[in-house]
Amino acid sequence: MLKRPFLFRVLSLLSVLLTSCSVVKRQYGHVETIAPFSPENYHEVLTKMGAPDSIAVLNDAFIFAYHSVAINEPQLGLAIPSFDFFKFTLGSATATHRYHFYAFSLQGKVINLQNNHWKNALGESSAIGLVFVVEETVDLESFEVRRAANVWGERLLLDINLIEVSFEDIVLAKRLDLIGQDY
Amino acid sequence: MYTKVRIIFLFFTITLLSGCVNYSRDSGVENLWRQPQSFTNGTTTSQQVLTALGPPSQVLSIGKNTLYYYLTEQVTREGLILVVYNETTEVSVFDRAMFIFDEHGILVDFSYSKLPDKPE
Repeated sequence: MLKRPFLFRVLSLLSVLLTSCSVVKRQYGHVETIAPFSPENYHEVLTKMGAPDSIAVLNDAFIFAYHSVAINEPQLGLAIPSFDFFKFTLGSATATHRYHFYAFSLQGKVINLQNNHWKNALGESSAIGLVFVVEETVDLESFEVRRAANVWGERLLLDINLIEVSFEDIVLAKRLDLIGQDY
Repeated sequence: MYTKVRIIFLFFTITLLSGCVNYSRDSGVENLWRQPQSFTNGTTTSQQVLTALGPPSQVLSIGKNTLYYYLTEQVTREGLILVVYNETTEVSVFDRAMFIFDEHGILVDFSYSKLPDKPE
């Protein structure tokens, strides 16, 4: 059994060192929660799921994709001795993905469909910051890119000799070209 | 003595420093499709959609059909700063509208994204 003075010292030390606990949450997109269904064509998918996040066109098929990502980042802040207004923060982040995929023939009939959800760790890291500021410890820059749909016209203004895909190739769907959001 | 003063000062700092953080931003086209509109499959033309909603964010060809894709990105962030416990939540909503026209520019089908009731 621990002696009281020792326990008191440990608790005192912890009360000084443990500055804060923080939770940083991020949500990108939304996938409607629906009961399993077996659509016959894209009209039924649009009715149930709404407009898709991304659309891809192949030679003889097109694809609707619905995708959402929820990121949860719990953090533990530790006091830095002699620096009262600063803390050392340890954090880790986990992303939960929900993905629905529907493939159709050019006539609009369902060829294939699949939905899935999974988690992946985004890493663990640390940061030093002010005690009253919530610092993000994990790099989430890849989730903060400008949406493809919002830079589509801008990309088309690039020098035709410098861009990877020509305007004609995109509009005529001569290649797999996802439109909408990319995660 | 000096240590005690520092601990007391830190305690008061922690007690007093609390607050809320809130910001939001939009990007993309204006989501005019959330206002009352009267689009009808089989009769509405692409010109009527363009007049009502403006230029789309993206255009895509699907076989003989043409697809107009509209996107508004809405980001809101809320935070509660209590120093000993902090929580921030950022929600990015991608409000979308999609219109499919046949080779004559007549509306075949259209759909809007389903919006979340609350963060997942």
